[in-house]
Amino acid sequence: MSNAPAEEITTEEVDLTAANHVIDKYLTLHGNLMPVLQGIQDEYGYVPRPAIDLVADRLNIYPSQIFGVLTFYAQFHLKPRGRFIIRVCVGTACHVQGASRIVETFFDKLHIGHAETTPDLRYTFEKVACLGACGMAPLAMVNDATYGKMTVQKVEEIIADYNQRPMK
Amino acid sequence: MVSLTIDGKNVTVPAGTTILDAAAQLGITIPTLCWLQKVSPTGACRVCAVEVEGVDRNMTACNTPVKEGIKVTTQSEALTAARKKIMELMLVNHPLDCPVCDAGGECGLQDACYELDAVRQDYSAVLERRPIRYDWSLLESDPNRCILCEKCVKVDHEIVGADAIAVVNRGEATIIDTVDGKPLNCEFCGNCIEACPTGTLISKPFKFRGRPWTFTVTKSVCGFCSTGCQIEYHSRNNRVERVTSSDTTYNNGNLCINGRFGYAYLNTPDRLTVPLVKEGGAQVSADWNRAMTGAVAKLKEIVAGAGPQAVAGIGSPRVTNEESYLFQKLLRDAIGTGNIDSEARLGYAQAQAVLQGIFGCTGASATIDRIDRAQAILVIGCDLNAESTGVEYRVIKAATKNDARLVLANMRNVKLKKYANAHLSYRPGAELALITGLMKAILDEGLENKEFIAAATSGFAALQGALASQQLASLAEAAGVSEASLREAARYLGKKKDVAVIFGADVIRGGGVETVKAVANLALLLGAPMAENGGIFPIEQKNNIQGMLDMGVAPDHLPGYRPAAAPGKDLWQIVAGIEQGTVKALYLLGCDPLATFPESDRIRKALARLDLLIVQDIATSELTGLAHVVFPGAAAAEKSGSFTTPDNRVQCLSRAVTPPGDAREDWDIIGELISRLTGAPHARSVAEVTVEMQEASGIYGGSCTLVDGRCSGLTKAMPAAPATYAFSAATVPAAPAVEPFTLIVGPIGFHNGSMSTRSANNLTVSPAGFVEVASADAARLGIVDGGSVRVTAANVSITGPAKVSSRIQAGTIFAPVHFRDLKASSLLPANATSVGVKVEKA
Repeated sequence: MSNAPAEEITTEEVDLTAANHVIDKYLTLHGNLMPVLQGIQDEYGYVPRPAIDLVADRLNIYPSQIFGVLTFYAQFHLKPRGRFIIRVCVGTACHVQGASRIVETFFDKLHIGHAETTPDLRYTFEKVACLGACGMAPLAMVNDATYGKMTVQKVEEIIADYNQRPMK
Repeated sequence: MVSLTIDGKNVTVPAGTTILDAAAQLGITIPTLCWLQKVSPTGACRVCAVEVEGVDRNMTACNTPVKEGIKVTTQSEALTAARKKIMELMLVNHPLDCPVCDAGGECGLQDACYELDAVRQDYSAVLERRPIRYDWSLLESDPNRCILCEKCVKVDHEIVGADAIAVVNRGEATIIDTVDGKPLNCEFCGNCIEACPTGTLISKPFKFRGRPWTFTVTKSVCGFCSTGCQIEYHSRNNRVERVTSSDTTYNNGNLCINGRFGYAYLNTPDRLTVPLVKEGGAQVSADWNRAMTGAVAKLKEIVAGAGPQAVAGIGSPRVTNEESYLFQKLLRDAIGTGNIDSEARLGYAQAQAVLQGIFGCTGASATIDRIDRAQAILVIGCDLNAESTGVEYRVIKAATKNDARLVLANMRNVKLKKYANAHLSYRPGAELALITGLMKAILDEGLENKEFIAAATSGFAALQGALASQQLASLAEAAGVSEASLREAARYLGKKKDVAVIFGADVIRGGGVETVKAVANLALLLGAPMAENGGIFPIEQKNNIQGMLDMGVAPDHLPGYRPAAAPGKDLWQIVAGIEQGTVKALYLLGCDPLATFPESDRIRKALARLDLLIVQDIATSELTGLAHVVFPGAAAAEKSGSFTTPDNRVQCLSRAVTPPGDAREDWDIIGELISRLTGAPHARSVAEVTVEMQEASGIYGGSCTLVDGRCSGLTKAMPAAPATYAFSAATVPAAPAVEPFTLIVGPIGFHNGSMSTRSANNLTVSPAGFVEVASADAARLGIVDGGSVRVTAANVSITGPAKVSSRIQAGTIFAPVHFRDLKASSLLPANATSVGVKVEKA
């Protein structure tokens, strides 16, 4: 997060019906900001900017306070995320087993870097520290599916597989 | 109540008290850094760590509530070591650029390190330099210096309610920034600068103006709005370079953009520095003797030829009590005319007369700190943010910290809406219908304060009878609000012990006497004057309107409200007198009717007919160009004297710098004129005038005493409450005429009067006038944001850039009153804040 002035803030066009439903659900709950933001992220896959203003307005909180919460927790995302989240472990065990080549291969094949999303919103790629399955190093995950003993060939297979899967 | 032991001493405090506050009651000071009394505790810095017996880790005293029987230790070797370590860790990421840091010498971090003996640096880290925000107006942020105490964000959110900055990110990436790094969307009150313990948030105009300790600090009173905030001028080389306030003041150190940054008007290149006289149609510089001799000779000639009634004077809410006193003395005693008035005639003077008749008070019924603890607050016809920001802070405090119910009645969606339980967005001109509707709803629901009404009022039955014949539905319709919303508002306000009723220009100037009477009736129904907290509060934009009226700058009363034997002409009668040729000489003291008065075109034509126009002011303008004699006066920072707020606090201002060039303090100018006209000796000091004005008014007591470097001690007698408060007869409200468009003219938060439009600081955030158009209307008329709009009323029109907005209702447009170029108030009829207009794309 840079604190340089953003060059241009484009206003997103987002259908806020789902966000309104989430707010309706928690409106009278004390301490409702977190569940509301989590609910909105479940609906949209991220927290769209217009939803921040909506939540601010309906819960009577400053947008700046909500933004503070959103940037504090790693669980919240302010940019759209891919349908498939690819996580590759770069922890110690995976590192010595060659995780960096797996990472590089994903970068090459998907044309995105760490914490980036493909323009078609199919994939988001993330390097993570440890997934807790060092016996299977090097390790990758796509959403909830785990792929151990990763190789460069397996990267291509995974991408070929997920390219076929439906977006919804 | 909870009992505990701190450092071996027992103390009993209410449940919920923090350890820090409990210790303070015992006189034990626990060191703090991120703690700020006026906002909620943050617990970010850990410096206030204390030991609690039986608890393994240190606890933060600032945000840990007391528990029964706990034993707290605030001083121990372990604590000293822990606090010292905290400071050392804080310095790891802090650049040691103190030599060029604006906060150097007044830095909370420096002080804390010194106090906690953090003199070594055992740690180091690779510093990640973060970009400095140079792009904000008036404020600059250097996140590298930030220690993340969060005081700025708390002040911004909890006191000001501005939503400008937030704590963004987490861990070592945390910074104080705007949402998404956008440009600063701010009120520019600079209260965050004051709260910042380091040089992270600094004032751009003050940057590099000097080291803090090299300035002379003069404790004084703000000369902008009528809140009467206590301020400190920091001056050097006869220039005010910044204004600050301290948390120990009446206003808790909180200022607004005008208070903190408006001082730049003092240094405007337009300042008048020498007297000017008109010679053969051209104005030339003159020395004081020549200017005064000329003015006195001409005045004498006019009095000899046409009598003293041919002379009139218009005073100013900007000058001190002493100057107002001398001004009426000049006209009444030295010249012999009662033709004296001021812009209070646009509404405040009449409203005051109504309030005086009912409540016995000459302004508010109580001091404004009573608003803090009110249980219900009605703010009607008033954009507090623009008219009295300091009062707005108190309303926000009441609504957020003390859970007061807030009802906002305003034609526009003003800032307070965010805090309001109900917003009654009424039709322009429908104030009377709205207030009558509220009263009807209160009576319908049986929510009136029966105890108060029975014990202390008269005339209730008549009011009840008059309202019985009214229909709530038709009142709601006339006001342009729903019946349900009136009932809802009534329920928020009714049956509360402490109610504050706050009303501003749309009632005082726009509504007129009948509307003020209705507000007073409403306040009586709610029992506002009886309450321990709350009361009735008229709001005026300019600082000393109250003191000016107290001093008798009005045609109908002398100082202290003693009735004038022969009332003179009021403001509009003076204008008419000039038009008819019966008034030949006019003295304008700190008053520019061409800038912000209604019907200014008419006044401009009238002024051209005068044989003698004397203008005493601080800066050149179209008006000074018309004058035969111009006396250069002094601004608030350049003189001594006293100001009185509408809630009857009398406060002395102290001279921080001398007036520029040959300019003189206004009391001195008027005093010498009196002396030249009458031959009586001229007062040698303002203190002499203060004593004379106290004796003449009879309502000012006390004497000036320095308390903590601040001159205080003058008092104004608050009149005793009347035995019974009389309800006024109800006026049946007429539905306001339906206009295709209504122009509302009023102040905005970035300015105060026309004075701040000479402040380069204010102009950086609000450079020019605009015409605010509702988005729906803009679309219909083909007006785009920034495009030109022409607004025409009767045969006057103004043109300005459009500001398309969702803050106003369709069918209304808004224009700020402050700007000489826009001349928005020239469209208004004599006593109004709104007018039917034609709007078109220009």
